[in-house]
Amino acid sequence: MKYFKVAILSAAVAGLAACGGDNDKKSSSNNNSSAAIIENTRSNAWYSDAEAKIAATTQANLNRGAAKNVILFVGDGMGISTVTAARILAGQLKGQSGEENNLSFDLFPYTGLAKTYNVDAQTPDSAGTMTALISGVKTDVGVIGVNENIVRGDCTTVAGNELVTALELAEIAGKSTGILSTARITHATPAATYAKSADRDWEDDGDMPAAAISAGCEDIASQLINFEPNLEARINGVDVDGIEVVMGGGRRSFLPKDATFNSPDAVSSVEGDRTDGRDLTAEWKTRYPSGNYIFDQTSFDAIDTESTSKVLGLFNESHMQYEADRGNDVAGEPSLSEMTEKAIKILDNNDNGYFLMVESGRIDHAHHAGNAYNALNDAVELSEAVAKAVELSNSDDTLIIVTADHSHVFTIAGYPKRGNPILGKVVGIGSNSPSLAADGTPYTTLGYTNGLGFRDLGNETDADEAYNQAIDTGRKDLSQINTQAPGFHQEALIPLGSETHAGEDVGVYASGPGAALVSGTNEQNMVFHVMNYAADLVNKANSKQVAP
Amino acid sequence: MTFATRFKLILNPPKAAMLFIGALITALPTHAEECNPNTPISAHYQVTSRNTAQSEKPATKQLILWRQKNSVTEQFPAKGITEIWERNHSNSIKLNRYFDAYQRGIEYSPSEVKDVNGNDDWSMKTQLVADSLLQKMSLSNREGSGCDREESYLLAEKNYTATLVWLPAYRLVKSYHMQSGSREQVWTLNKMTTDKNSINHFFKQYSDYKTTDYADIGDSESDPFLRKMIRLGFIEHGSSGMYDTQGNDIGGEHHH
Repeated sequence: MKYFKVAILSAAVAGLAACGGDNDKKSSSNNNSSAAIIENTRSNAWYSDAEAKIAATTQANLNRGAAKNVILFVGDGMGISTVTAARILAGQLKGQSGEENNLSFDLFPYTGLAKTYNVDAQTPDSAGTMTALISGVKTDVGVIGVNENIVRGDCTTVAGNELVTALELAEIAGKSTGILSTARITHATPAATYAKSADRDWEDDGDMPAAAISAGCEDIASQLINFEPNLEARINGVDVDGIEVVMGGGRRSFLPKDATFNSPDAVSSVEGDRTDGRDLTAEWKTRYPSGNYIFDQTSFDAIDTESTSKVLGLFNESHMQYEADRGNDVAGEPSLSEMTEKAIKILDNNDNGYFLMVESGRIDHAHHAGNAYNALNDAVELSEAVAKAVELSNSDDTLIIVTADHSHVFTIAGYPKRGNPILGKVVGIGSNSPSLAADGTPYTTLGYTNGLGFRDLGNETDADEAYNQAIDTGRKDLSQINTQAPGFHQEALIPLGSETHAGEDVGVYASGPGAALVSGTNEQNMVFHVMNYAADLVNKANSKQVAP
Repeated sequence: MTFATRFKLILNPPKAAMLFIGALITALPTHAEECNPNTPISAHYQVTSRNTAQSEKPATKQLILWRQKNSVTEQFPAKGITEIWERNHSNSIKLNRYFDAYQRGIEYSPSEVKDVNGNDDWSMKTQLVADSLLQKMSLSNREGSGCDREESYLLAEKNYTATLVWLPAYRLVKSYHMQSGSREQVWTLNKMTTDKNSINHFFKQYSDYKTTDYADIGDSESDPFLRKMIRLGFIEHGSSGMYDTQGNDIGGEHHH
């Protein structure tokens, strides 16, 4: 039988097309053949513009495909102010003044900025931004792995608009792949690496409208478990072996709504949310008999990284705990840096290399709750995870990128003196007592423009406890308040039920082959194209595709 | 806050009225296996409060207590809010708060509900009166037998008094009267059923409602329900359990 190669994605760019502010909805095909998917991406202006920019780069010492491995770290909601404050906190926790400290990725040789807006939104959400980061194409708020031609919530608009992700390309190219998150593994950021969905909220079938199910759309959890057959069906002529490492929270979307399926550490009387009766953990074990399904610290610790082929770790019914609150988990769960170490040690068993996405998902949640303590501590833990990745990889063959999907309305303000506790009240240069505002009361260095506002919850390490009290914005007398306590929630100006994302650029930090492409201010979808260049993902995937 | 200040009110209804209330209670099962603390139950209470120092009219609200296995519900029909508390194997307690008009709910993780973490708090949720309070009260009368057995308890401290008529077979309050200074409050059981089908149906309908984690509200601004609830202040705590108008719990002795 004669075989011939078929291009999956063309790296060649015919020419530049204007894309900035292009919000026109292009006609889309409902043809679900591989050709439609390829054409859909290649002809997308976001994609072609970024490729053109890469091609025009004149940086020296760039070598396409030099990266055997790629690791993408995403701090969800980790804007520039969060990075700065976390750096200071980490330094102060080490007994330093703090400002001079560096987070692990502060030391990366290349840095740039990413414009985070979604196609339809000035201030973005994680679904649209992660789709840009991982697929190379900007899209709308709230949709996963599909382009802007989608209509959010309309299943019938998915077909023909699916994008191909860096993780999928790496999988096709024969690399090992992994996804880690401290959020639910079906949450927007991790979902964008493997799923195509008209709505980020369709995490399991119970979340989906009947019309979407009857129209044939598959929930996000099911797409994760069916990743291998789905990818092989979507792109003709490829043979993949599935994602090697998946660890995070979100067990609820994988289990039937039946108490008999509860995990030993279930926190709800009925843990599962699935209404179709499917136990996706059992389906995963059937598909990968030699794989390990784990759900607690003990089973995590027992994983032998040298003999383990596949891991599905679902450590919590919903999101995993904040790093500062992790000790309160019922069955225990690993930290982000522990998961990163475990994942790399499994993935690097493949001589073809690996692609790993690591999300610190709860920086965002802590900010939403108006709690800098947890946001910064989770950001510091992300820095630890990056340091672990640097330690376990070789900068000659591994591209590491650290970025955020979006920012938050989080500020570092006033004129605190050098070394002033970053979580504390502003104390001016030459003074030992808090500076007073015009209202005669002290104020904190950190604050939020909007949100729930002030809470004094003492040693509470769960930021979400804030939602259990009424909104309390505006100035408070903080004279007798320990603002450095875990349960202190900073003052906010505009009363909202939850603090919001912000629209400014986020940082992109890079190390390893291709990292020099991270420079200047770019559209966020450029990150995919840097990874694609560094590891030559499209071409390597193309080389693996055969058609009868 | 002291225990005494949390007991705001006792009305002492005439004995005839209590007998009438007793007659309203639907036929209770007589088999021992159907009248135990684990018997699925639906109990309708009327809660009346007033300040005797003022000429205000008594305020009345309805509360329906539903119990089944490790779940207990406090339903406030007038507010359209239903709270389901679940105790899991590790004895932590999880709250889901449902908004009936929208058929939607908010899920709190167990660690977010620090005020109901102990067994005493669970007894307050399932019985409306905490075990610790029962232990402080003196048994004054005992009558009836089996499922119909009733026990009367008294408590008198410096600034308040309380009387309780208790159904020990079900561990359920039949009536509860409190007085603290000029504030009075009465809880009376008006209707009760142990019909498993209706109780199953009740819990099933809420399990079918779409729920949202509290931690996800910030990423759900496009959800019209959440936008509206945020504006209306749905995050405010205070509708759960035996709380007075200031949001202080009055059913038990635990402290925040």
